[in-house]
Amino acid sequence: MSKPPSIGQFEQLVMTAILSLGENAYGVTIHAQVEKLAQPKSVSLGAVYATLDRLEDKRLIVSWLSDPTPARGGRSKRHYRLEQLGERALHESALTARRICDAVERIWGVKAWNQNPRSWKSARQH
Amino acid sequence: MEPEPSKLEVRPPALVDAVIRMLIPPACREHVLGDLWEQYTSPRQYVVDALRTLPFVIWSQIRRTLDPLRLAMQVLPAFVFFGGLVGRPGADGGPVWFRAAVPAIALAVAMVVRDAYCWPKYPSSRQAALDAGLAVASAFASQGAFAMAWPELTLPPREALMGGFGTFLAVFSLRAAAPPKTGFRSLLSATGSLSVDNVFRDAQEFERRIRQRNRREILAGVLVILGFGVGLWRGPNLVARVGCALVMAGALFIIYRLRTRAVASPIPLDTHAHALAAYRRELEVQRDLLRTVTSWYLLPLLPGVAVLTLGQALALAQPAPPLLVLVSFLLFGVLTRQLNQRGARKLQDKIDELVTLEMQDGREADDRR
Repeated sequence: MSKPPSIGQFEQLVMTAILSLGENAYGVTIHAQVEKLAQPKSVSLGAVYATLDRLEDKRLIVSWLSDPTPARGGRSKRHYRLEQLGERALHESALTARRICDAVERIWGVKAWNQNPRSWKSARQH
Repeated sequence: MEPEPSKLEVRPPALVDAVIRMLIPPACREHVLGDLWEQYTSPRQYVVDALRTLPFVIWSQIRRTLDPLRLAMQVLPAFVFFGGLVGRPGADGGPVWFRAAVPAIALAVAMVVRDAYCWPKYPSSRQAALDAGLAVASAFASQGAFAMAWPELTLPPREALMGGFGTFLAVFSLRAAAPPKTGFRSLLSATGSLSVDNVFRDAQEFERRIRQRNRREILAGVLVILGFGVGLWRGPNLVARVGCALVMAGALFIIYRLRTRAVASPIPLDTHAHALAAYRRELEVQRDLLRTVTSWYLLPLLPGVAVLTLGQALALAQPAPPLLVLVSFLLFGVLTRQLNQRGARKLQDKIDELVTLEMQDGREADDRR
């Protein structure tokens, strides 16, 4: 079994969006989901496309065109779903993220999640 | 009374849509344009969204299609044909290589952009000719631009024309033989499973491509024999004539090999199992042919080119220019080998997919029993 390639943070966001959208994962919905996950940062649709292409080249996701729909000027949607390798890569990176969370929580406590880290840090210094 | 415009008719202005459609690379045009339509609220928003999206999709397409090996195989002959190795120095004694590098770089830029805007399919001969025309036009355009600012750095018209002709042939043969790189594209259907229909279409397309390739290579071989036949008759000395004869013999061997080992067998489309097995066998034959390209395609030409180089060096009493041509031939040979090895790996990927499909078919047949 090949080792999944490591993925960056934005790639994790896009893959999580695909995973959560299931059958309905295509450009517009993935972009909306990524914007939700990346709050308060805004994300451009183009950046999502570029990442989807990169993930497809890494064979972490796979895509196909659906039938054309009138609401889109008779154009098809490109649907995406995670490949097995992609699921493993996302799982590994989620575990890493969890370990980071645990470590942060151990040092800064639970309240670190409810406050802006910078203001919290400066409060501690006082 | 005229009917009221329906709310469903909210759509981008036709002209704006046409311009944006033209700017989006064809490989992603369908879904990107569809997504932009879906989010349309006003012409201004549509244009802003499109302008924010375009740089990403163009860059992504350039990244996906940029193929340094294939690019080098277009730029290197252009540099040689425009006299980068053996050209005459200009009136001001400026570097010869620089004058040849300018059109070669312009060609490289044009071909990178062209590849990003290619339809993701195997190119036809007509498309390859148009691309080669674009490559030469961009090289000439660079000469035009330089002529206005730095005329001393442009090529003499005769050298530019000769170089343009040679470059056209080199770029045409490369682009007709080697398709542009595309992103990973599997034989998956809309349901996300391997589709037999996709495989059938792929098999027919593959068979057609192999036939076209063989016709093209045989024609090129005949032209080489004719061209070097003239050299055999009018060569400057005996060594050069022997070199020409050896090149002709090498080209004859390549034609013989193509006629005997590389012929595309028709793929029967009667049953799934037959078609899959035949297609897989055909892919294996062509994969092995690409893997062994050094022994049957490159090595047969090498002795002739080496002897011809020696003959030219003796005739000119100057070994450097013919030696540089020999070195560039060797480099071109190495690049050709690499390109074919990569082609063999791609075929292997496809073979692996077909094996999976054959196993699926076998399991389904067992279940039915």
